[in-house]
Amino acid sequence: MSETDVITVMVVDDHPIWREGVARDLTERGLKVVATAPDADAAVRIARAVRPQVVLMDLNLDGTSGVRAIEGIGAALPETRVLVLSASGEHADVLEAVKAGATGYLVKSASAEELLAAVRRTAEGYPVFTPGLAGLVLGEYRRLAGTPDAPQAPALTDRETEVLRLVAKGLTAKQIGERLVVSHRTVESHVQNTLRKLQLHNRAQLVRYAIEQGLADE
Amino acid sequence: MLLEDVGDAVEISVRDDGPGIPDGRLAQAEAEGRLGVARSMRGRVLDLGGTIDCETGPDRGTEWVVRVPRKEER
Repeated sequence: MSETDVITVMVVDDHPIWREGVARDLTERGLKVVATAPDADAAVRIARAVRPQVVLMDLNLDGTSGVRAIEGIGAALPETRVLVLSASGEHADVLEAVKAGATGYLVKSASAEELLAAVRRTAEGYPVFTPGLAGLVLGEYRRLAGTPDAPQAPALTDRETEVLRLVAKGLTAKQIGERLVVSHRTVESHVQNTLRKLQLHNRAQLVRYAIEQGLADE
Repeated sequence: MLLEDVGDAVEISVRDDGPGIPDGRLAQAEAEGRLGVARSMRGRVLDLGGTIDCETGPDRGTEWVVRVPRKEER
């Protein structure tokens, strides 16, 4: 493997022992941890300097929110992917992180092997989507679609809904591909599209909020 | 397992990654008077005006999808 093939990662967590432990684990498994950061502001600042392929992000950063850092990193570094590694499986936290631009979400009960696989998938540009997360996202679309005054409520195609439901049921991309007679890459792209729609919707809402609050005035 | 609100109905699916149920196995069980699937599962769901489907095949696992209407039929 040449130098350029090594995946570069930044680890963001407010607990130093955990942060260094994760960084060491990933390094021992052949990844290159290019930076670590303890809070949201440092995460955005350092990420801009080191431009990692993947940011592994905790959500609760000693009082500051990882969600803000996800948005900041997404705005500054469109090529960088954010994978959340959080102790919280709370529905609201998961959805906020995904809406902010995270393309994957793992809870801290994941094994070291699961984490490594998730970081690799994230670096390749694939969403890391657990069945529980897919169920939440599906529920969120249904909720938005059922809200009469939701601006530009995102609409999933029939095929995207079908794929999301199968992910929520626990099928792998390969199994879904077999069932729908499409390639697993097609399945992955449907999942990516559903995530992007939710993120775009979130952005539209942020803009509307800014206008309403007068924040977008010159 | 997935529980979904699909508008006018509620859908529950239960899936495993097992070897699947061979063709004819369920009909055979019913013919032998073993009514777990035929009566306990299918019968109860039909009584509620719902549907129950099984998606299975060799090495594809088994998935039961139960759909029950939200409003009581009159």
